[in-house]
Amino acid sequence: MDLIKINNLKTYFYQNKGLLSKLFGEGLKTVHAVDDVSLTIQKGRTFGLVGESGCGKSTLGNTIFRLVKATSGEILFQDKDVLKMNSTELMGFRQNAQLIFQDQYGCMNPRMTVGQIIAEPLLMKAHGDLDNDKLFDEVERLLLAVNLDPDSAVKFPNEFSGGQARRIGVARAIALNPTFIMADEPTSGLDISTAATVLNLMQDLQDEMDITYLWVSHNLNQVKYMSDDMAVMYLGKIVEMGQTKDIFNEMAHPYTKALISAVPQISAEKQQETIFLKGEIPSPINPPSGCRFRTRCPQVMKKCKTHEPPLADLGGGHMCACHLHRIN
Amino acid sequence: MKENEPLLDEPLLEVSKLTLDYNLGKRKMRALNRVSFQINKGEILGVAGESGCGKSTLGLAIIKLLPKIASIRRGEILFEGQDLLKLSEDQMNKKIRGQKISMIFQNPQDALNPVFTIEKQMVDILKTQRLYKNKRIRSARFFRDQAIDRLKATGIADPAQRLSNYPFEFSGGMKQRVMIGMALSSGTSLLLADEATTALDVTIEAQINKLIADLAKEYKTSVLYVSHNLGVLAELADRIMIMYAGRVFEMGTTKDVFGSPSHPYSAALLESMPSRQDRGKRLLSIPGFVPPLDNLPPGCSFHPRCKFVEAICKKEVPPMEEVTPGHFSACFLDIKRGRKRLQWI
Repeated sequence: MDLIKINNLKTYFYQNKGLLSKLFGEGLKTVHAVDDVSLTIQKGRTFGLVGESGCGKSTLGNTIFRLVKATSGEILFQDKDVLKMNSTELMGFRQNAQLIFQDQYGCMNPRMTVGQIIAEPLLMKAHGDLDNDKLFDEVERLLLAVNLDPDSAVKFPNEFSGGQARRIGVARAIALNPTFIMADEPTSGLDISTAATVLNLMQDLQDEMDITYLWVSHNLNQVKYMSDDMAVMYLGKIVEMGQTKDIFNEMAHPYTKALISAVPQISAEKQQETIFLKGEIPSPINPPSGCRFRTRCPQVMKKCKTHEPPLADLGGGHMCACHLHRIN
Repeated sequence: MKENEPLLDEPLLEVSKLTLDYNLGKRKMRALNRVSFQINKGEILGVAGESGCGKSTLGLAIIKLLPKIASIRRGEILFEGQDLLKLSEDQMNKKIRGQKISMIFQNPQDALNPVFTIEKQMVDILKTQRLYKNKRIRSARFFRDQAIDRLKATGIADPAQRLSNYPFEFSGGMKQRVMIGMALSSGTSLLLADEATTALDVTIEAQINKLIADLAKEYKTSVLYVSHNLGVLAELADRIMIMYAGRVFEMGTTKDVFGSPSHPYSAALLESMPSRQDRGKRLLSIPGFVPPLDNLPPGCSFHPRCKFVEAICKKEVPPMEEVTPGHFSACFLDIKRGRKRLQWI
């Protein structure tokens, strides 16, 4: 079943919008952060979103939650368009969909205790009408669910290590039994062993509560391990999408190949040589014509400059946007 | 994984029994405890471990850039036969820092001055390098050309134009290239890289690591590469050193340490990596935390978290023993159980 269906979503940012820039500046500049993205996230599964920094993966996630304004397109959450929701409906949606942020300390009020932080969404939902015993029980249950000591409810965020702080973020996110959680780089900055605790926890919660995850990360090893489906983004566009195992077994797009080959592996026999991409990701203000990856692509052809390759099905829901796969 | 090529068996850096404390009021944090190792000429030594295990302190101790609260209790750092700990600040500046030993830091943004152009910052370094080498200071043109050469060597496109840019006009990967260009003077024989690519994307990380590997090969520079990314170390390093709470736990060639880890801690680190597990299987998370450095458990500092703990581990500190030629490990268990494969899960 489709939980989220995104159709032709565009999120643009504008620079030099002010009066002075209009009069004297270089004119309006448009940052094509998310450009015509369509994807479907199925219920109870984990959807991994990968790409280099600046490719628009976080913007896409934030647009789903209406934290940034979409330019056009639609986001259907349980068949209802998030972009057209009024404020009451949006409240309801945000109870069903939660976020885990990258900066684990930055998203918690340093002057509130952990108990208060976790209790806040519960109070919001009950409009403040919740007796204290029930609230304490609920906070305790949530802390135990993320393997933290219930006594830590009286501590402040700065008293916790990175891994613990991240688990508090998870506890807050699951407080209202959401159906959907977006995790934005949920283990960045953590040690391997600590990251493993968070990953194990989030998998357990998914099994118990049937949560759907949107897993935004640039760690491909992790996405391979965590996700059922995935999409690779480059400069605001999806270049390849499908089931994770299909993509890792038969990667089709040259960018995906380069990205996966660049991931350092410990195993003695590496499947393939590292493909070194030339240069860096171009500016999303003036994306290259035709295929956006052509400036760095090792297999670039004449056609790539003039024609933009559409996202086409290679069979079995494995989609790829590349002219190489359209010849045969 | 990096295959081992025969290396020049000439030690460039020999650290022996280095012990270092951080003094915080009355608390004494032992950040390094009898750390001994050597780096041969042209070799890349990878240092791994969890945060707070002393790996960054090690790099700072070698180039003597430690904060004032740090005091070295004992040990020596022999670099080209000379004990760095006995050199004065002035001698360090003239002969060692930026001349023979250079360091690249994790965050290139913070290491460059935002109010000067790249040219100014590179030329300043080049001038001091020449000054200390007692070479005549040449014209501005000469230094500019040198700076361009350095940028070109690190793979920056259009170096002549980019010189007049400010750091904010460079991307993270390019700033790290500038840092490497500044670090590698003609006589640099040891490069200390502290999490040099942690802040970068995978594709850029691969580029930068290739650059470091190529330059190390070309100039026969040795590298001490500190990282918590075991995958990066596996591809880059010739030998690996695993550290925990200020001590060296295991040391050997990359193939030995990652292929057949001898210390339970090394084995645990490898098992907690998602790349090694299939979808749906649980990852290992080592129970407990790295202990605070001023309150280490007696005996082996890893024993409260170790699955294979025995009575002796709680009392005595395990000595570093050679398991196979060139492969060292500090664990009682290893001596007793022979060479059986460790399995945490």
